[in-house]
Amino acid sequence: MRDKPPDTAAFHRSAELQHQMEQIGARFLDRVLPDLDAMEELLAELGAGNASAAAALEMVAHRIRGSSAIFGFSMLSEAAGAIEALLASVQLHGDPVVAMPAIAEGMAAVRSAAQALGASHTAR
Amino acid sequence: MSRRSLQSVLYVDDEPDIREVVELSLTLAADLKVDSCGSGEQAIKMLATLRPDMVLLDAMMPGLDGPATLARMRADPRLAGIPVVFLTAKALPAEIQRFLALGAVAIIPKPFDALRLAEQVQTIWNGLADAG
Repeated sequence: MRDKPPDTAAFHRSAELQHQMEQIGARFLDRVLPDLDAMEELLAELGAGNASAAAALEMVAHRIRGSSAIFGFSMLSEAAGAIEALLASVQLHGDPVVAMPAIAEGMAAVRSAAQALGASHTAR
Repeated sequence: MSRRSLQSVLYVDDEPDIREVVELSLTLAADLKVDSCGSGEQAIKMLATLRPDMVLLDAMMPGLDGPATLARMRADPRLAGIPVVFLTAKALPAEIQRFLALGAVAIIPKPFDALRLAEQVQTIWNGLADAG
């Protein structure tokens, strides 16, 4: 019995998609550090009494978590997910201002993961 | 009932990189016509003229979020019949139940596999046809 011939068109489509994903992923990484700068400003607003900054912070963390996972940046996704979960929890059951040190620590972890990924992409 | 083949999709997500991935994935793998936009407000405007076969909707967006966008669609007789699938990282069982109760036909959790997304969307579409 002859083997089924490989679907070369599907293979090329898949290779093209993977290639493009890498490029989009690199552009996404370029945007994470500015996003973190925006998060730093939101954290300062939260500390200054703007309670709505917590929801905005959660939104940015959520976006980084979801997008980085799609590009396979699991450490970055987990670090952003931890901030998102913390913010969701303290908005429901606590005081976001009290959680500010933990949020800042989580943001440092996100920055560290993004910088490591950025460095590895630059080195390619 | 025999539903015609899936041809066009509107994807709504505030994250531009993910919009690009979804557009690529669905056009390359399934040759679908894919339009996209970054907010629920834009989606409602576009739907007035686009009339895609299906809408893929992120849940958590600034402004009009996914559930609110779906509610607007269901309240408009011209848009109420368009199937809506949530493509979301908010995919805990309670969240999925909430989206289905709002009228979504399916939920594709993020992170999704870009290489398999077209197949997942097609399977959902075929299921709608089978359900009549």
